[in-house]
Amino acid sequence: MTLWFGIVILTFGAAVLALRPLLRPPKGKTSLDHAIQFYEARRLELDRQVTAGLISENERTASEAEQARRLLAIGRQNEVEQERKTGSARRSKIAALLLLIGLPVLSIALYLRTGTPDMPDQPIAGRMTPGSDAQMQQALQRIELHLASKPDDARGFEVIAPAYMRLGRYQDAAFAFRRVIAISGETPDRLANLGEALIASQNGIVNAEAKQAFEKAVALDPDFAKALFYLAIATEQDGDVPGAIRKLMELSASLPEGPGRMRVETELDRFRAEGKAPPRPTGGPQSEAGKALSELPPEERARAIEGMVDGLAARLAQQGGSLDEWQRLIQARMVLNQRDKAANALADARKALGESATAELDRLAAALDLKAANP
Amino acid sequence: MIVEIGHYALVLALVLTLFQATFPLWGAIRRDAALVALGPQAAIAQLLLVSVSFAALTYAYLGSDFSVSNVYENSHTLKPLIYKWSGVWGNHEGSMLLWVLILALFGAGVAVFSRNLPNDILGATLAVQAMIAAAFLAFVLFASNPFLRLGPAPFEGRDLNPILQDPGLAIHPPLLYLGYVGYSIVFSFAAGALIVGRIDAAFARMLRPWNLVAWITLTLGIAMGSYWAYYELGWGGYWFWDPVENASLMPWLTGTALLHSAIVMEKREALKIWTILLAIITFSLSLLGTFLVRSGVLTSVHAFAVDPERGLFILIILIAFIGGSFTLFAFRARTMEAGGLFAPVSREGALVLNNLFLAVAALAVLVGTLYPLALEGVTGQKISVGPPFFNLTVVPLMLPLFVAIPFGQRLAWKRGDLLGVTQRMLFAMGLSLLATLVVAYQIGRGPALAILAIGLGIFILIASLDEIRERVMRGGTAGAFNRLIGLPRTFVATALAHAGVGIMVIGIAFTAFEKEAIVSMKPGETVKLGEYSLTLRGIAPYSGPNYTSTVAHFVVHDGTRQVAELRPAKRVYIGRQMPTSEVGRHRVGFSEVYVAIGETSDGNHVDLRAYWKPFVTLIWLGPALMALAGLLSLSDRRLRVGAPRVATRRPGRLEPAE
Repeated sequence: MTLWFGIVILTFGAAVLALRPLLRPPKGKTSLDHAIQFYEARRLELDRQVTAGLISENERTASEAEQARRLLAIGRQNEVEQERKTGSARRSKIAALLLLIGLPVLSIALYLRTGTPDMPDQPIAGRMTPGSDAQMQQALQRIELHLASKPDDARGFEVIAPAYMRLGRYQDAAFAFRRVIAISGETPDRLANLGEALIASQNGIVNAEAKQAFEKAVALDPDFAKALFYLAIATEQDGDVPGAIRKLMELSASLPEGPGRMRVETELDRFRAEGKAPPRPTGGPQSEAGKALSELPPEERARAIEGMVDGLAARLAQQGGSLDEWQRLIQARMVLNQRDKAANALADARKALGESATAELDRLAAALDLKAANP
Repeated sequence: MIVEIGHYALVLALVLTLFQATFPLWGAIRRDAALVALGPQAAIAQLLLVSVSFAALTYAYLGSDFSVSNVYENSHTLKPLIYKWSGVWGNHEGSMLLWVLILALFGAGVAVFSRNLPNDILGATLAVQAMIAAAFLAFVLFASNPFLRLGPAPFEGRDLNPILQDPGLAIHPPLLYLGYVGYSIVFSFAAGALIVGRIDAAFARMLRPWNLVAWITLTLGIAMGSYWAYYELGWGGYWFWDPVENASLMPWLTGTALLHSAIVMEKREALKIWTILLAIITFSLSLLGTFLVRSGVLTSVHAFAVDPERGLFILIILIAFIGGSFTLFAFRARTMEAGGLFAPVSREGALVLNNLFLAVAALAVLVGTLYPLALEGVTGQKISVGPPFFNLTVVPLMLPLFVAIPFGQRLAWKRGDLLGVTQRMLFAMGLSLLATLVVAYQIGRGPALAILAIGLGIFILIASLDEIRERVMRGGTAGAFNRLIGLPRTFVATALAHAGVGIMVIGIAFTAFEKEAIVSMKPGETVKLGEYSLTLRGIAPYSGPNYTSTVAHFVVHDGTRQVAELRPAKRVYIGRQMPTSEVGRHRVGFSEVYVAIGETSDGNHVDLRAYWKPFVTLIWLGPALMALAGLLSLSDRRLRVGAPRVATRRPGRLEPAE
């Protein structure tokens, strides 16, 4: 409402300001008035120059003759162009009418086409509600300021890096992890964190620096699963699919049952779907957990599945995940007939994955006839 | 709400300019004072509206309102406050809004300060100004709208181009725009006078203050841009013949020509057609500059808007205004009568010479700038026309012009006496020769041409200022003080501005004597730069508010003792991961030690460029003095009359008077 109030004030003000001279016509100067005044002033200036000794009397006389000739010429021109004063009142009325109607109508019509009248201002300070990203931002800023003055505080970078990851500022996170390593030295964990941040900032591509980080991590700890996993992904991205599958299978076999192994199996499933990887070692349920699940009575099984899906959702919310995982979560929600939660998951996925996944998610949403809940 | 008010104010301003472009013109043709008076009022209203709009965008930037797409693209919550401010115009959309704001400022300036102009000229001028404003407001709203919104709003922005994150940015584009846009009002006056059909000395007088304001700001804008490139880009140069620089130099050259030819028009009613033409050309070149910079046709630091749609829009504006004004010009040219006659050797003649050289120089720059574009457009071949071309074309054109400056300054109106002028300059010539010899002796060995160029600079400096002494002492010491007081400020301004040219020439000539070292150093190593030596103490990382950097620590020795510590740095801005260079400089008088670092390798080697730059600051102090002289001239509200020299002695060389 205040917006429209402002719009009315602005429009009215501009119209009044522009139209004022029509209400009370000013005198204005004709060209002859101006010329006479101008050449008179020039004559005075010549006088002054003579007095100051800058030009001689002779020069003044010559110059004055020139001035007089020009003034005469303008006078003649002016006689030809008779001032046409008639019809002034009528013209003023037409102008005022056109402007009073045209100004508001055209402006508002144009504004409604280009503007967003129902959108309020959203200065960052006004968006700081407790628990929100914005509050986290504020905390981040304090740490960042602190780090700006003490760039060697590894602890500060260690705190800030996961926060950056959470906010999707992967490059900043990579920078922070790098600082941690530079200050406190390399450990498998730190190297893997750096690698993960780099991969996230490259939209899932394992670049040279990330690969190097994982290789160093494996050199320090040959059984470090996270690093082995990403190295396998890198192998795939290098074009060596069989090699990647082999590495993943080895890794899967070496891992105990748990989220880590599930993550590896997810990747393997991807290859299995394309028929590139051998099927799961045992028929039916793939793991012990799966076997246990299949033995449960239907109701309990449904509850257990729901629990697993919830677990996946929680993990994705906390640690983020790939497009595949998000899609799986959304599909699982739909299968469980949790339409609202599916919509929420879609919205979260959009936020977490950013622009790169928009097309994929749109396709999925269309297929499931699902609209993202308003965040 | 405030953002949307700003958006609406911009729309309202556009609609208002449509009325301002028509009613006062109608009034000017019908000689209707009431309709004409609508012009100044609308111009003031337009300024208020665009100011509201600009303030709203600034508000969005200061509050980091990322629901505004433009703020999201170009700002960041971590950015220091001053760059949130300058970020408003540090991007394409915002800078176009600034363009329009300055356009409105000039329109309102005419409305306030030139109220006593004849009605017809005032009406026509403000109408033309409104047409330009309408074109650019439409461009902003339909092709570069800074008020487009984002929903849902992101929580963090995407920073500002780090090279542009510099205090120089806060002042440089606004000043350059003041100059560019300032010539719009000069153009409007010329078009207005053409429409009304009255082009005379009185018109030149009306034009003068606006011409000066545009020239002063463009001069300062270019000088500041050059200085900014010098200390920010880290290449040690002051002028790169970059197309964007050329785009600002071309209107400056023709604008300077205009400044001089308008004097002839005001004082002697000569060169009228040429002056009008120059006014049109200068603004056309400003538009061309805007087009080159804004369309992304050029690929350089400045061309941060890459969007062919926008380029096309500006191209249409460009063609419409240039075409329209030249048509009007062709239509009226026949009715313009040639003014006062003059002998070839006279003040007028000298100013024609000045105009000729400046115009040809502008043409050379134009060809050098557009030829590669045309070639690429036609054959797809990419070439670059670099400094060699411009040094071979513009420099030879400028040298005779520079030599002629002190002579032209002294020639009498209508018919001059070159021999007499030379005699009057003997003292100044002797003094300059002496000074040059002293300098040459001090330098010792060096390229002879460079020493000659220094001599030329000294000659321009001394001879320009010496005319003040001449004038005051004419007729003996008696009354000298009164004559000094009585000197018109425009006269002093001429001498000072020309002295500024001399100072700049000296600064540029001295670049031939700079010492350069491009080396890779380890801590503890030393590099010699003429009398100075530079020792690298160490390299360390450093984190700023939104960047990280590698800082090198240098100590400067002058042979006997340590004179300074320098900390040049290489910065990487977090938001965009782009490196920039922070130069370390130590000033000695007008000279400088200049160090820029490049890559560091193995953590203890650093690549660097170091220079000893004698008298380098003169390159910018000269133009600063020129601009100051412009201000002095602007303060002189007196009318200027060129009293003709009466022919008595040599009847054989007489020209017809009128």
